[in-house]
Amino acid sequence: MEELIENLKIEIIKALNLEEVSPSDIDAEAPLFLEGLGLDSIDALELIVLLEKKYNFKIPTAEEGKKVLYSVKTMAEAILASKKA
Amino acid sequence: MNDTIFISKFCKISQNCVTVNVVPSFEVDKSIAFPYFIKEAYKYLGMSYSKFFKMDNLSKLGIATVEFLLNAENKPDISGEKTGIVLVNSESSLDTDKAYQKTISNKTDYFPSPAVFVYTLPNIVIGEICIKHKITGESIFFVSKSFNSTFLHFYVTDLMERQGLNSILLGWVDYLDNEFISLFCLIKKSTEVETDKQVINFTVSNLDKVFKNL
Repeated sequence: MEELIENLKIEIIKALNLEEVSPSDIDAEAPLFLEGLGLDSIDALELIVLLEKKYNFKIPTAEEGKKVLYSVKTMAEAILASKKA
Repeated sequence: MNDTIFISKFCKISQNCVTVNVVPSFEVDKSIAFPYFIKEAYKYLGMSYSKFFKMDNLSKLGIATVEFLLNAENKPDISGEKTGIVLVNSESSLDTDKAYQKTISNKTDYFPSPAVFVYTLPNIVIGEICIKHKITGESIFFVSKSFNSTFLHFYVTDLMERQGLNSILLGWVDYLDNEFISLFCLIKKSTEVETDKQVINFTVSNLDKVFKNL
């Protein structure tokens, strides 16, 4: 789980061009939107594409999407849960 | 008293060199590619605007040019509906269009990027400038082979005289395949022009002179 979280942080920084952010700056449990990294709706779309392409995880519904994309940790948990299913 | 419309200052960015009213303001080695040049310009400007790095190259160029220009004007407040933006270029958003095309051209590695897609229109540069500086006045982006001083003089004068704008950012901003150039001028209207301040009257002839080196 920890390795996946670190990997996710690196991929998020790359996908969203977070130039001034390093993995250690990202709190895995902090909200990604509104607070924390303060991401916007375009960033959300990029994260959805990232999850599909890099982790083969497709968010099933918009409601699920809000839960999955809450934080880096919830993204990691969703990826791991999908691999077990 | 009739208002005077004048070009307060102009800023040009080309070949890794920034000039304000033709005086060099910032420069890095010409061999350095644009991404590194614009990052150095960002640091030099002391900007703290994380959204900058999410922008495409055209928008970064436009934003940086405005920052250098406004810094030279002692950072006037240009927010609100009395400020307009009129921009022009010849390559539209073609550089970003090509970048987006790359993300969808390979069927086996199909990776459409929403963050790139949103910049596949040249007027997004205007949007980014407006967001950063809270400008809500009239704006437009023309795509044209060259800078037409006669037409743009007419258009800007109309905006100021008939639509009551007090200042306008007028500029050329172009980026394609690592070749880039931008030249913005801040056009203002005032009933009083300080006599000790160097200003350039807003005429077709003076616009030609300012934009002659595009």
